[in-house]
Amino acid sequence: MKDIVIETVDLTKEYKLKTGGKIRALNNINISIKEGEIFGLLGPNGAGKTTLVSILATLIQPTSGFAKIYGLDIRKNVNTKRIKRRIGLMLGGEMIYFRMTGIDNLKFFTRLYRIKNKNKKIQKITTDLGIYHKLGEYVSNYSRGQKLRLALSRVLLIEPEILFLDEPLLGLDPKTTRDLIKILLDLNKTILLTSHQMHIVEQLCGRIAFLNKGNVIKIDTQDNYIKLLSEFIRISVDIIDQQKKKELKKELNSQNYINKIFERRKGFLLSISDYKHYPNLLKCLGKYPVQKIHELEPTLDDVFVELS
Amino acid sequence: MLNRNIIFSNIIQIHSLIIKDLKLKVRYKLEFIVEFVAPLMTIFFPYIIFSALFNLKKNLFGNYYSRENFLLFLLLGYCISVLIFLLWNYQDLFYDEKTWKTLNAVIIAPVSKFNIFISYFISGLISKSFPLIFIIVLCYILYPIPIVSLFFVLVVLLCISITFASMGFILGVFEIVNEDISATLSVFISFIALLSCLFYPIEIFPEEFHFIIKLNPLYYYFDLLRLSWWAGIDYEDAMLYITYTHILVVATFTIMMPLIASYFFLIIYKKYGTSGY
Repeated sequence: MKDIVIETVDLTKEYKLKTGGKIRALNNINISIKEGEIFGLLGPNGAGKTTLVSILATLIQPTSGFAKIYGLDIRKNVNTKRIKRRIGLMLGGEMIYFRMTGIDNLKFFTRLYRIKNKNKKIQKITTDLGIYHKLGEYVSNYSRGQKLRLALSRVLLIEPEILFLDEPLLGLDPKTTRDLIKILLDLNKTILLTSHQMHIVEQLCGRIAFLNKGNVIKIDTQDNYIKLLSEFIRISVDIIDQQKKKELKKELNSQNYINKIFERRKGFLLSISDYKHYPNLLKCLGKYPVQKIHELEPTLDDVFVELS
Repeated sequence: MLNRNIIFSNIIQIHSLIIKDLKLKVRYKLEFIVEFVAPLMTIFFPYIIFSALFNLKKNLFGNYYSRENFLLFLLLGYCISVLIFLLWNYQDLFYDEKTWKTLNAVIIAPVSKFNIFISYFISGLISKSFPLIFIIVLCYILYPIPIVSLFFVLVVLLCISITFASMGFILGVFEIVNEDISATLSVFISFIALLSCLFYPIEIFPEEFHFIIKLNPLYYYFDLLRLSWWAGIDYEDAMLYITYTHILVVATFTIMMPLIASYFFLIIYKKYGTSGY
């Protein structure tokens, strides 16, 4: 039984609005994350993901409720310094100095955290992340992907026990993404990850919390999320004649056994609740120049759209 | 043993923050040189005006300001106007770090607020050391004084720097949490600085203002700086003007201000956090 290392109890954060009144960025959040777990935070823009990460990283205080990291209450000043030594935060490609070289950035942070054998560690981590050759250059000359890799190097170098990663792989090419996913999996550390990239969450996270408008909608494993959608049959329909697309849309809208219709460039994405509706659907589609019909397996992307 | 480790750890952190800040400051070198020259302009016009006035009347103000020493006081005023940047240093720095989105990286590191304060204070002094040393050497050549007096002058300059930096640190935290408050406080502090007799004696103000000026602690700092140098030249004349109030105000504020500023930073930042970016 692994220990719980991050725990939030009724965590709430309110912000004052300039127009008067308040907005609840987080509303009674209760989550617990075990040691070594990679926990995903999913949700649309403005769901409260970054606010939650910022509170856990001791950057901002909650309005009410509390959070504990390794049993230490983050609200207490005496605990803050002890917590800070054990956590690493990466907010995308931020938190690095663009006016300094890559190597100066990394040396600065290793000194700030008093990391031993810093030169060896810098060489190893930056080589693994494929950024070593760029370290002598000013960060302002780096590409977006290179900045992300440098930001990730910074977090890994300070050797945290818990990593808070906010959109860590956004904008990277597929090969680098794959390499970095492998690196993160091999770390064997507790990671709280927020991302909009479902394929990354799918590959990395065991459990996922879905946030919307400051509320936790659901916390579950990927498989259980996908099971949620399994009660629906999802069908992709491509049509040859785009002129007929409007007519087909009208007809599909009139079929009351169809739960949802999403329009796509080539056709439609439909969901029906039972196979018994297949004959009716095929009869309806038969009147139009349909190029392809196939059934789709539900993905985390679909869960995201469904819950948002 | 533990204490030694903690001290060593703090020194390394302060050193790394200083190096980082200096590297950021010298990234654009011409900008750095311009900052050296700009304060020279601040003494140009007072020099012209005082020259003309002292040509009309030798003992213009009826105090220790005279035709013989006003250039020295202008040069010392220049030193203060170089150091006055410490008031805005943290504000500028935190604003930059906020927009660069690097501030969180420093805040989240296990660094005490006092270390942040002291390291940016030292890096600020280092970045301004060239014009400061230049002017002090020039003063020493033009108005030589014994080494003991020079040491006392340097101590007063250090006290001024610490107080400016502490006030700046408070402005800095407001720059992080609320730029409106920071801008309003800046205007207020600029007004206090104007009422502190930086380049001129208190007698230049109407009698009714004297009471207000004497409530301003900065006035005692600047007066003590001038009188400290003057004491090296004409000890008896200078001692007529140095009071216990001068020493008491300067000593108390220099000790209290950094502690107040660090505590203030901690409380305000903890309550409101970063806003605006």
